[in-house]
Amino acid sequence: MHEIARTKMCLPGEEVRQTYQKDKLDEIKTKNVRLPWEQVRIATFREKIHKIVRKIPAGQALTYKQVAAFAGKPRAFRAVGNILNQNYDPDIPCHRVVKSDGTLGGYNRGEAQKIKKLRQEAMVLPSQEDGLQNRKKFAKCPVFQSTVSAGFPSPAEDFIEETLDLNEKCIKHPAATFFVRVSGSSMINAGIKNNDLLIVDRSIEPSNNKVVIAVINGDFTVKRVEKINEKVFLMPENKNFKPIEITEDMDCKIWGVVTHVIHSV
Amino acid sequence: MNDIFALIDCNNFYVSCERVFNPKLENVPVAVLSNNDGVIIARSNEVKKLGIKMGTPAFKCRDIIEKNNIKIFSSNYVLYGDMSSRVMMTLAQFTDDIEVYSIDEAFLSLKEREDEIAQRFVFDEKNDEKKFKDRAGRIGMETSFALFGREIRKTIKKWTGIPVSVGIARTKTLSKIANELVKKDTEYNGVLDISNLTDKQIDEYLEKISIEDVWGIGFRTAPMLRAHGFYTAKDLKYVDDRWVRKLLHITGLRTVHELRGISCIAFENERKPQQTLASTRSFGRPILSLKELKEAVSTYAIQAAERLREQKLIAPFMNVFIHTNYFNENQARYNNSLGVQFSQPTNDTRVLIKEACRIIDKIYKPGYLYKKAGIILFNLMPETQIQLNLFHAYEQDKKAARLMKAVDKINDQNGRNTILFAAAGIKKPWKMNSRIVSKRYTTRWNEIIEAKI
Repeated sequence: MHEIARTKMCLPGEEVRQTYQKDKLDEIKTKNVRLPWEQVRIATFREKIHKIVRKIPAGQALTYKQVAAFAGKPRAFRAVGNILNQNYDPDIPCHRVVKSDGTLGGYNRGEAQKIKKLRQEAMVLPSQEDGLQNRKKFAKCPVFQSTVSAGFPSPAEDFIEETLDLNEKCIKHPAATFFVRVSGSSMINAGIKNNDLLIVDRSIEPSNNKVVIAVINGDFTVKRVEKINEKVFLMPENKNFKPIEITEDMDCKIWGVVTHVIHSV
Repeated sequence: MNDIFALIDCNNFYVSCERVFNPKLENVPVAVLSNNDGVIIARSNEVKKLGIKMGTPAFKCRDIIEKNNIKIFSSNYVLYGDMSSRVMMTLAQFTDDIEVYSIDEAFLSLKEREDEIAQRFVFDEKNDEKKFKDRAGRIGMETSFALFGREIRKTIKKWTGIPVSVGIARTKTLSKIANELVKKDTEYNGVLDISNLTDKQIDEYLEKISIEDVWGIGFRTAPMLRAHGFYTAKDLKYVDDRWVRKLLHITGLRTVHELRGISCIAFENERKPQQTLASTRSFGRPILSLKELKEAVSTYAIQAAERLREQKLIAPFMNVFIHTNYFNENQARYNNSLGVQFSQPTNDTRVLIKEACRIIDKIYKPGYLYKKAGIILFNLMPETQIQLNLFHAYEQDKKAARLMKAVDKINDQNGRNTILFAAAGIKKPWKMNSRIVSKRYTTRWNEIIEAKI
């Protein structure tokens, strides 16, 4: 059983992808209150590439295409090549990035160096080296059939998972998500009770039957949107309240769509 | 390929932030005051129409405020900062090439995505969303960039509730001008693309921009240029190169070239490390005593040190200043400042407090009513670049760094001022006024929006 799990994990790039995504989430989550030009720091493409490549462990390799895809621009594989070509930082193991047809794809310190480094990390078998050096003759000679991991893996490694994060589950668009506290009972049948906390996403389109935050005459309220015969109503979820019809001359706006209710038991 | 820039600028940003969380302020005159409720720093369009200028002291226009029932707010920087980062995050989904220029402005470089935008955004007479009515109400052709700008504008408004203006042009300065025009004239509907116009057509726009409003022309140079007979941006565009070079130096020449459509001001999406850091406020009430003045300066020193450590910087120089009220002509006036060079560049709160208090001891004169104080740190450098001097106790330094780290961590986890420096005082009776501050809707659980249902 251990064998199977191990091969699964060895798919080139899988591990790197996971760590990278986790980091990206962390980046979004840790928000401290500073003025924005100090706070918002949008990583350049170059920085993204460096960050990804830095995380490729010894004994594994990614293709230029994969790196580009992780950085969010799948077609920018040539740019990845150019960026890595300018890299002389020993902390960034750019030799672990190869072409997707299995060939080397160049190295700014000479291709021989790249082979040497990959061999040190047990990625290239000596028998393959000839083919690599005469690359032009044998254009498609794979560097690795499957990656070779060195060292004994920790048995627990396969079972480590991230702790569950409610933010990740409930907030899809952090930039457009706000919290609202409700008081009142007009939405009791929709499961929204007095003093509950609502998660509101403004980026979602307020379509039929969605529970929304509406602004009527400057006041916030929570209701369900319902379209009946071309007329739009704000429906309460409580028999004791009346539906509100939205007419042209009314001062009414939909502020956001409620996605989750947090209720203390 | 030529450069192309889009400037995204939030309309009346602080006022718009207040309006998102308080819809009753919609279509009502609203103004936001600076720190310490001093001057007006943000005005809604309604207030602008009343003729209240930017930076007017609040006490000078109290009559107009009461007469027109203008809603006044103290500035709520926590809220504005959070909303700004939401706007920038929303922008980031359109392109990676963003230069966050200030709290409410960002440049986008569209150079590399020109073809993609041209393909994705095509004017379509049948499609209502992509229709565009020109100024005379006819349906006109809208360029792809303008449609792209509209998409940005729509998304930001929907996601964050903040209205923005978009100016698109071949240079940064021209995109600023396009944005200026959009704000002046509601008929552009928020977006103006002047990137593919001929020189003559651009001149027509430039004629409408007075010289003060050109990006890079300051309040000192503008009157001088006016005296030489330059009134509009168009006049400046056709000036003689050598003459400008002599008068306004290379930066002025750059501005002129930018007006001509030659991009000279580079796109910088990497933030430069900060060079100076200032921590200064005016007091809620005038300070007379040396003790309180020291408390105030210590508070600013603590803030500055925190910010230094956050960015992993150290400071070799510090300047401390105090002054009395500039506006009150009946009081005796006094202002003074003094600098100090640390024996070792530092970000240790204790050192900053000690030196700041020593300077205050030297420059304080009894009998004056002090209105404002502050400290400024110069020539900041990264922590790692520290150069040891001969007599330096390295071990002590490490210990101090560990102490500061522990203090920061505790204050970070358990709320600000869990651990505080007694030098800064505890009651702080001189602290800033902010009387009518709105809630921190996005960063405090007990201050979020409430809905009655």
